[in-house]
Amino acid sequence: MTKEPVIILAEDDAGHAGLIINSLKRSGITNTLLHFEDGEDTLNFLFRRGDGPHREDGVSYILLLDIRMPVIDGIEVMRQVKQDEELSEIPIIMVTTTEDPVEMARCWNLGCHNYFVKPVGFEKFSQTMEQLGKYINDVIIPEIANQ
Amino acid sequence: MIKEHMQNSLSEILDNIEVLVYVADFKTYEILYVNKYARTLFGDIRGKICWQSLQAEQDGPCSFCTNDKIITAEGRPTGVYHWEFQNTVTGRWFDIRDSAIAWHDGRMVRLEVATDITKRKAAEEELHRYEHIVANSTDMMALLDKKFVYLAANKAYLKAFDLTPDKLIGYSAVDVFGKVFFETVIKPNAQRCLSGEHVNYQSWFEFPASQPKYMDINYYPYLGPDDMVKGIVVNGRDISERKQTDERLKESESKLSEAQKIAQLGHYVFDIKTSMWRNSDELDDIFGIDENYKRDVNGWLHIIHPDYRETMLNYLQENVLTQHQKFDKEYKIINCKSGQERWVHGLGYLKFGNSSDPLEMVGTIQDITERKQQEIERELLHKELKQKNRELEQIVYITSHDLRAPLVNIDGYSREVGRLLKELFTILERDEISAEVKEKVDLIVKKNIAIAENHISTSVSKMNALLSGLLQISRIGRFEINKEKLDMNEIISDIVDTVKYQVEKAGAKVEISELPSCTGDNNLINQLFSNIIENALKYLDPERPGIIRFSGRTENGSSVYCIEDNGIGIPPDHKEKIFEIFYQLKPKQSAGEGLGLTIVMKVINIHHGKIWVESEPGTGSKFYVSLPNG
Repeated sequence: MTKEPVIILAEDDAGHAGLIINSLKRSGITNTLLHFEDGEDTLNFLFRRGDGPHREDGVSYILLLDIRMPVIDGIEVMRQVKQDEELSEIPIIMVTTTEDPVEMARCWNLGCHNYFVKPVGFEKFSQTMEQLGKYINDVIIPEIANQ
Repeated sequence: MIKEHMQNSLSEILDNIEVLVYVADFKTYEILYVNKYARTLFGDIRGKICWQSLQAEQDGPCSFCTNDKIITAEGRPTGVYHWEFQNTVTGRWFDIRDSAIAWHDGRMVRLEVATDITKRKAAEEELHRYEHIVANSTDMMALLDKKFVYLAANKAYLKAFDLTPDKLIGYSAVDVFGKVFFETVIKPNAQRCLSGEHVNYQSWFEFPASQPKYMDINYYPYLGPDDMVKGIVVNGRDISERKQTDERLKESESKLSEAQKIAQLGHYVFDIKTSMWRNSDELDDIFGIDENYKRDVNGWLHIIHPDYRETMLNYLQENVLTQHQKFDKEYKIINCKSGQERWVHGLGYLKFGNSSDPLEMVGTIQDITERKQQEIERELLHKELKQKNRELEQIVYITSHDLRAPLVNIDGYSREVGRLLKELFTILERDEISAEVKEKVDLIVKKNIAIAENHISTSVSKMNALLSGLLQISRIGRFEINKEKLDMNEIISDIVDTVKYQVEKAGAKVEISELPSCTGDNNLINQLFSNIIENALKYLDPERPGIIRFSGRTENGSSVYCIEDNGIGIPPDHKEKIFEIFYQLKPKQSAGEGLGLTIVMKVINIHHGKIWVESEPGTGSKFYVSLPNG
């Protein structure tokens, strides 16, 4: 049994991040959760760049991606992650307010594992996050091989 | 001796004149004498029979023999008989004098002296022919002497003045034309002619027996054998018709030129063999050239704007002259005179003679600068508008999208606050808190907070619905449109199938007649008609059984569909508003977001179609949709 995967949440809206984290906790997710406020910080962590925290070896990660973020958006983050041989195995789950079919199709084409639309309205939002929690629990998180 | 000498001298004389002389016996027709001239024509025929040797193909004495004319039955001579005859052997004409004389043996014999007049005869014949030509010419001809007195006139001349020869010949032209006309028109010209020059002029002439005629008059000097001017040969020809034709032609030419000026359109003829062209005046103005301009292919190219020269030369040589296509091109020129850049539209057709190679190209060139500028401006405007529209759609899309993110927070955190407050109040429930406070807290938690949460949540829902609507509308234009020929019978019956439940629930009936096809995006057209029929169902009159009718027709390349209902109808002042976003005719009664007809309008616009409504409140509505067909 591998260690529980670390959830990376890339979400520029602090409110959304709070709501997501709270909902996931309520739905029984106890994994370590790292929150980055834009795509650049997220990539820096994954690719071990810059002064901030870096990804650790021997830890599995799961990436929750918002699409619309400043500087580098979610789509670009996914593109870069999917192009990297080592990182491409990280499950990516889109968690976004965008329900535009065109955007959705782009994400599926780039290889996202799942796509969750953040609904307006607390009840629906909570339900969706519950489903997200279940999904995270069910996904088998591969461990990234040591370099 | 003297007599013999005389005879020899006479014979010598007779042999040396170019006159035919012979003597023949009256009874035997034996030729007794021929002179040398006769011998050269007929040979030595002395002793032969005259009708056998002097004439051809005679079976006996000639039927035209003049013997009985020169001697009486009693043998008395009657004198000289003078006649002209064409000899049947030589074919030559002779002036003949016959007489009876006493021969040296005492008997009476026939003497014929004949002069060859063949040349004169030919001249006479020729003259006769000329006379004939002159007499029968429709031109009026006359000959006047130096004092303008008529010497001769042909039939046409006499007829025109309604005169007989004796009323004209010998009279002066003054008598015929009257003093004024003679002095002002005839005399000045005639005098010029008398000085030796050929005079030609045109003038109106009045005639006693006809309408005035416009005449072309020629005066030729009449020369005597000494080359001195003896008079005037007059030739007059009626050219009234030509004059009228000329005038009509001139008028139509001037009208054409005027029309060309107004239309700024010139025409040209391009001779393919010589590569030269000629053109109307208007084209001179369009090109800014004059009559000295070299009108060949290079001359044309020189007028064309440098950016278009190569294309146009290629077009002329390849498409027109090689492939024999019609010349039809808009191109830019530089007016040679003003240096201004102008747009022209050139049209031209090739003309073929009997060969398969074109002989010439005939066409028009029109200055279309104003139209072209408007077109360019319109295109620019259109582009700008499209760009602005795209931007606007993008703005709508992004804002409606981004506005949802805060909504998630507003709703989410209002609940979070509620939850936190409840937690707080659970703490306040403890015993150490007074009953009075508990009661107040209870009111706040159970009632007021719930109401506040409800308001927030309702507003969030409302706002969310609006944003969804905006997103939905803006999304219609964002997809790629895939236009194809659509079987509307199939599409409408599918749509009616999907709303079957609502139709039954409303107790309504849907009637569909044969519908023409149209060209459009399958999904969008489906949505368009779905929305219209849903609308019709929504606004049926509960007081009577609903009927919805689909019908269609084609009209000028469009398919026009009519969706007719017998519902509550639309008040006249609402007809425009129904297409506005979020507009609802009866907001309290109807579900939905008021987007249906807005989407319809958007789909119509994407297809460059049209929609209009005829409606009578209390009777029903007719929605007409016009879509391109093919």
